[in-house]
Amino acid sequence: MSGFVKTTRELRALVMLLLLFVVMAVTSPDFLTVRNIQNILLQIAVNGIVAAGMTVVIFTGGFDLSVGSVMALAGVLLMKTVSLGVIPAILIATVAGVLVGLINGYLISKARINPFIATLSTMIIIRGIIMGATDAHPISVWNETLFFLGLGSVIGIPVCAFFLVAVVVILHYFVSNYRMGRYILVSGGNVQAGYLAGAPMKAAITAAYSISSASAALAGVLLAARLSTGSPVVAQDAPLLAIAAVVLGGTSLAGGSGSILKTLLGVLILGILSNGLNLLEVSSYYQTIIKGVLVVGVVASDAPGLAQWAQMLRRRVASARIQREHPSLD
Amino acid sequence: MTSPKQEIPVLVMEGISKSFPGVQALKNVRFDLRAGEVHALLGENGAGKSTLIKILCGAYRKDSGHIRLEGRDLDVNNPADARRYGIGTIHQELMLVPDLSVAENIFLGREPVRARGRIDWKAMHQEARRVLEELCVSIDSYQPVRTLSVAQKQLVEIAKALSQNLRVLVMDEPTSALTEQETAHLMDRIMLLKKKGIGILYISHRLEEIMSVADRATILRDGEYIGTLEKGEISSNRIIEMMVGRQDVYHRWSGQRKIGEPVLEVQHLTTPIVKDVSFTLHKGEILGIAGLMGSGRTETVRAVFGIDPRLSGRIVLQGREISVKHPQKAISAGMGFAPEDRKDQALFLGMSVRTNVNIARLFLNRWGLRRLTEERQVAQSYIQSLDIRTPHLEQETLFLSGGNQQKVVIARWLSTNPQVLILDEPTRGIDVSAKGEIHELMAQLAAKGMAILIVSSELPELLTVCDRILVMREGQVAGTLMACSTTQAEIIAYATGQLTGGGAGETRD
Repeated sequence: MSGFVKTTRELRALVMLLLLFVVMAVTSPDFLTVRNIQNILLQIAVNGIVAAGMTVVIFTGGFDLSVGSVMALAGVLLMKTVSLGVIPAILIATVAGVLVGLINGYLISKARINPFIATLSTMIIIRGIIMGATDAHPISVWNETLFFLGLGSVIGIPVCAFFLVAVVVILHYFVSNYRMGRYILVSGGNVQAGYLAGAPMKAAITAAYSISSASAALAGVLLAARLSTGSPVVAQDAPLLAIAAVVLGGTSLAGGSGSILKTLLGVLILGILSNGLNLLEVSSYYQTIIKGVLVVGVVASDAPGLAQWAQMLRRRVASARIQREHPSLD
Repeated sequence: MTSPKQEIPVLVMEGISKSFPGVQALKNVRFDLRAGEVHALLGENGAGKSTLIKILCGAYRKDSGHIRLEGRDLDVNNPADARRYGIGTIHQELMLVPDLSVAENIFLGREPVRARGRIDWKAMHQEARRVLEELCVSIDSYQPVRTLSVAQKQLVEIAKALSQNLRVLVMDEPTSALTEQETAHLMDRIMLLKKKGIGILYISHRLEEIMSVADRATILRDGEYIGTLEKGEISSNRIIEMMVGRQDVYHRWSGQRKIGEPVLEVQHLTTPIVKDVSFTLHKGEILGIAGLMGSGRTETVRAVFGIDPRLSGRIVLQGREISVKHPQKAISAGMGFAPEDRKDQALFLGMSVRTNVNIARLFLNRWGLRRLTEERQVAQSYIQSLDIRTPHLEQETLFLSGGNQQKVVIARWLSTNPQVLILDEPTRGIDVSAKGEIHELMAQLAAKGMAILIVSSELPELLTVCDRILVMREGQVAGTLMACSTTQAEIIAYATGQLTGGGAGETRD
């Protein structure tokens, strides 16, 4: 019984995804079309890359609020430097992202500032820097290669989606099979144990924030490429959407466990849900309500309070039945 | 038995001193360890045991002194250094990562890697299986540590030590969370480590255990080296004498207490863990609850106090049935409860002694604000009457010793003037002399007519303080015994199911 419950919990995101897919396929004739699937992939790629990086930080038991600002920073830098060539521009944007991650990692692991405060501060500071540097004006540059990266497709699959898959696979493989990747999990599971075993915990935490920022920078590059514009105001809600996808996928915010593959499921659920609700012509205001309820519902089904309540209810029902069937007993 | 090789110490610590701001934690302490021996390190809390082992395992740096391993001077600056020299530590709080596999935990920080930095999982699991087999442990190396029992986790820690080619292993209170049977298993594994020539520095509060396992024992008091006993000289009286500087800590309450009418009657109490438990607690009586870990002792008192939900059963306080669905109701009905985990379940560690004493019964003025004058008076009076050693009323409880923290918790409940006081493991992790003080306090309270229910894993403690002892097994009452006529062996026989039913104390009800 408990084994069964455990497996269903492990598979919950997958079951939800399949259910959602079937429901949408049945209710909307436009859903299962090549064009729409391409559209979904394009929509989820950017958030998916951010969420994959966010998962790595959540493994350490922290989170990264600065990813939205890093995305905007990367987009602006890309457009400012694209005249040097596309590859140098992408490199510059990504390096800037890694730098932010190193700063976050230093603040959290060495200065021991709470991740919420540390990444909230870098989030505000970076947003301020790019707003100041651009005077809050978006920078639009037409570049064919960037346009291809942002909106083009290969054998019918959006280029962005290849990036998403690559990031998810590489990060998952890294966390599963390399010492530093395992130490990222250890730092969230029992940091004291890691330290006493001589594993470099501070380096692992710093690595996690660098990975998150680098992923955010790449996502920012793809977003700017898609819009042909580096805007200083984009992606304000990116960190929260990413955390929602991680949680929906089934990775615990407590750290030390979970999987980036699960996060991919969370990203797909959110993506298909908003696509489906669009097709069903549900107002985008109400869509946010539905997403919020979904996230809190998933978390609540794991929360001890709800399980206790359900157990009590079952017991009440059982004792009521016994009294009904054996009225002589009491 | 003793070959000459064993007499040469592998590890020598000499002249070790360490001070923290305001405290000299260690003064010129020495300790040596021979290959293949178990050398117990003993002392009250605050005597400097943990400071000494933290210096040895690299968590603290010593101010002065030498550490020599096989004649070589060591410079241990961090845990990684200590491990490189072959010094391993099993900490009291096990240092395992719950969601990683057994094998990964064994090789944490030393994962075998292949050419391009990828972890060599096959080699890791193979090696882990080999070590586990050597320990005669049947745990799957792929199993996540989260799913193991405490005893199994302990074995994983030992496997970790064994896999590292250690010379010295420090074991800090390894049996504090184990049952008797699991402890016996652990002792077998310790013998195995001894045979491999590993020197073991062993810390435990349980004196009987020290007497059975230790080859030598070194005693510290107030950060100073007091002496080392050889195998033949180890006895609990000698140890206690050296630890506290005086003898006779456990002595039975000699005076007669007047046991009055029933105060608390628990009838057919049943929860998901506890099955049909009934007992009666009288005015002026101290009733102990004994039993193995997991026998339902704590769950019984938690249900009585309204923390865990009851499925059925009645709780009658002074002849009136009370409905305890919430601790608040238990408190207003006249009960107090000091839970087993002081730090997590009782104290607000960051708050003052004054607030902690008054929290169960706040003095409020008509605007709902706290009346600080009364709070100070109450706290001050308990600091005096219970001899709580704190620099001042506003000291945060975090900085008090275990014994004084427990007194703060007891003061909190005394201030509510309860008829029934429930104490769950009131002296766990408290040093010997503070234990004596808490026992004395319980006896005084009972003499004044308070009814006390105490849960304890330490049988000598129950035999010392109680009038009657209720023994639990698998959620049920296995027997009720009179403390003055029973023995540890009889209690254990009931707790393990060798004896069942009745018991001398039953007649009283």
